[in-house]
Amino acid sequence: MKLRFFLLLSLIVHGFSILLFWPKPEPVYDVSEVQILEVLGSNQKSENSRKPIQKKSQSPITNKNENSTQAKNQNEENQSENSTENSESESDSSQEASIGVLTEKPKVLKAKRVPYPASARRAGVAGTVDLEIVIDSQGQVASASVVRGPGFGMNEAALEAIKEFLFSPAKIGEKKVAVRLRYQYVFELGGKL
Amino acid sequence: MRFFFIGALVFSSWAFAQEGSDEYRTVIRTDSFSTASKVVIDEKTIRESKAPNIPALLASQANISIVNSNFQPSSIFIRGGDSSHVLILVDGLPAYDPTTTQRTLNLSNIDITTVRRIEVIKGSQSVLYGGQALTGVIKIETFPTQVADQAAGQAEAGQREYRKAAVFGMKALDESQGVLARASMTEKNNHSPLKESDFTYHSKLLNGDVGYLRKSDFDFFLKLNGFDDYSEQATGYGDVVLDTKHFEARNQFWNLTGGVLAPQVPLKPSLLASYQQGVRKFEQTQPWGDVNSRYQSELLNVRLETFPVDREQDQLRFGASHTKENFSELENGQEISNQFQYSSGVFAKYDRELAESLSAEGGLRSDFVYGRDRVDSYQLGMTVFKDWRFEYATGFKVPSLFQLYSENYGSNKDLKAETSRTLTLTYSHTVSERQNFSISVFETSFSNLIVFVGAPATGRYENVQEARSRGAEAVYAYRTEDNLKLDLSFGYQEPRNITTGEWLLKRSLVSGGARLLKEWERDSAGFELIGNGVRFDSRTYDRLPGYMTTNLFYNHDFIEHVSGYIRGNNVFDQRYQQSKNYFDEGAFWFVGMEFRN
Repeated sequence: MKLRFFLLLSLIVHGFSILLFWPKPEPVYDVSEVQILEVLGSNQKSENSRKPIQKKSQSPITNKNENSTQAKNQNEENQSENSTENSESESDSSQEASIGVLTEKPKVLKAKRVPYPASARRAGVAGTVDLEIVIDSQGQVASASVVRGPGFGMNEAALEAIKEFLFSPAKIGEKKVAVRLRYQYVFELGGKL
Repeated sequence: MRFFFIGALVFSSWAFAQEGSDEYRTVIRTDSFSTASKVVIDEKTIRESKAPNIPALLASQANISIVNSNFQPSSIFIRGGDSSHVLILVDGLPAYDPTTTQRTLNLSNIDITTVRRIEVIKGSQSVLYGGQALTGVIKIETFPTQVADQAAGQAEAGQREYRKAAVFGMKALDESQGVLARASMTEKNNHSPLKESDFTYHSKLLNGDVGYLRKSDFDFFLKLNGFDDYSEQATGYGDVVLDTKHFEARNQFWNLTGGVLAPQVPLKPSLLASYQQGVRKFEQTQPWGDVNSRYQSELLNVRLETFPVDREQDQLRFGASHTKENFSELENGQEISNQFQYSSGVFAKYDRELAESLSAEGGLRSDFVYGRDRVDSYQLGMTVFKDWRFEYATGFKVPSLFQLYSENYGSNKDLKAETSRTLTLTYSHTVSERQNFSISVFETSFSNLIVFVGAPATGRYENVQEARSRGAEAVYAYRTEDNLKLDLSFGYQEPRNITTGEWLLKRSLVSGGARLLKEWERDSAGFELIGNGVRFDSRTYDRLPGYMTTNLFYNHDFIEHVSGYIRGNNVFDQRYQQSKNYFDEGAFWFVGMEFRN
């Protein structure tokens, strides 16, 4: 085989090796920054929030630590202060918090699957419906809206489905909180079984 | 091109990123069993098969016969029709080389690692897609459906100094838009098509894409693709194949494709457009004089589609398309032919669910071809009890510019358009969640079939004949709980020229396949049997014996994202005749490594 092929192959293999074994930075928090937009039901704000929210409390707790241990300690402090401050209204969703203090993400307990919409199937169209949903402190979908979607009945179908989802509530410590997050409902024109 | 390859590699490294969590995502897929009339091959199946190219994939997955011969791109046979009756759509628009006799393209030139989905619809689809879609459509999708950081790379090496390297990267610029780059390089020293010869013919294919994708209130995509396909070839005369030195064929094409889809605005319009330029050339240096033939082409496609009615129970789609093709032929640098052709079509198709167990559809299309009479196509379909589908469709095909105007080979500018009428009855029965059976019975009648009449040097294309292809095709699928998949397919057809009573050339009367795939946690293995029965070829209607080949493949996931595999094509080294005196290369093994995040 020609030398240049080996050189190219070597370049590819080395490239992959570098990519594979490149140290990944430790995540600061155990929550997906991509999808959780906002925590409702606590009283602080963080720089990690993708969509910082207006602070209402006069005594925000700062949370600028970069490493996970510090963040965890901070979370514990937050929790104790939160529990004091919010003892009277545990499920008060008018107060706000950041995703940085979340100790448990909501998990899907019951997912509703809808049939592939007839008009999308006929037109041979597939796509992803991006939904923005609020999960209340009971894990119910309190509100939902379509951020963007491919149409052909898929936006409506996804919206109808998400309202029947049930989640485990998000938590800050033991306290159940409401969160706003991004959910994707994907319609794919699949292959053969 | 090499710099582009390195660029794509660097780009794919940049695009490598942690994949998003699937925690907040639900996927609804239309997975279903294949039927005898429609086969969908998704990305997972394409990756699993480890097929080295698209023709190998289609032969094993969709019961499609593919034949190679000198000079021409590989021929595709579906239900008695050949490549000139099958329309290939890439990202929604017709893709072919306008200078080829059959107005087709070599599917091997599309890098299989870039393909996301293939849908094969057997039967006429002229109403939606226009001319050429008389016996089938092969829809190839290459664009990702989602904007996300992705990277992939593949390296393969095998017998006959085969080597392939491919890289792909997509980088999300923000939530709704991304850029992508792909490149691949394949090299091989092919066996001579002569059985006892030890000649080898070098081939090399370079392919690259750059693209932009936006998914928002409206979708937008733009893709620039180019490929350079170089191969040394044997020559021949009629059905005589001769080993030849320094006879080189080269296809160089670039293509710009773009589209806007706006499903949120009234009528849900979508507009797709592509422009392609290419050259196909043959060169040979000989003491008694050089051969230097060039075929240059341009192809412009525009397609607009709207949905004036789109409800749960019915849908009306209305659209228009325009195609313009240019053809020029040069001999030793001298232009000997330069022609163009364009056609515009309007179409409407209406689907309605009449009752729970009854739905119907009807379509009409009118095409206005430059310098010709208007051609109308119809399609009527009815589905009863979800299992039974009856369809009647007509189709047409305008002669290729090569058949009309080539000064080199048998052109006839008086050729008329071919037309076809197809009746199909398909029965699909889901025996259980794990078993499915489907059978199609069909009859297609061709009028004004274009065939080459006479000796190669003196003959020419004529459309004086009527032909008919009728037969049946069946598929059976079985899935077990522990990921064992079995697919069987069988087809019988009688592609007959009614005028002369002879069989249409190169089409096999019987074709079939079996495919078994088993998946474990980190491994998968499978085998494929592909068989084709007796065919007839050459002017003397020589009978070519049937053949059966076996392919084997095994894949192992070493760690997350990295897998290694081995595949053997035609492992029992059957050197059968693909076409008269053109022998298959026999056994071919290769190994590969793949990274994909």
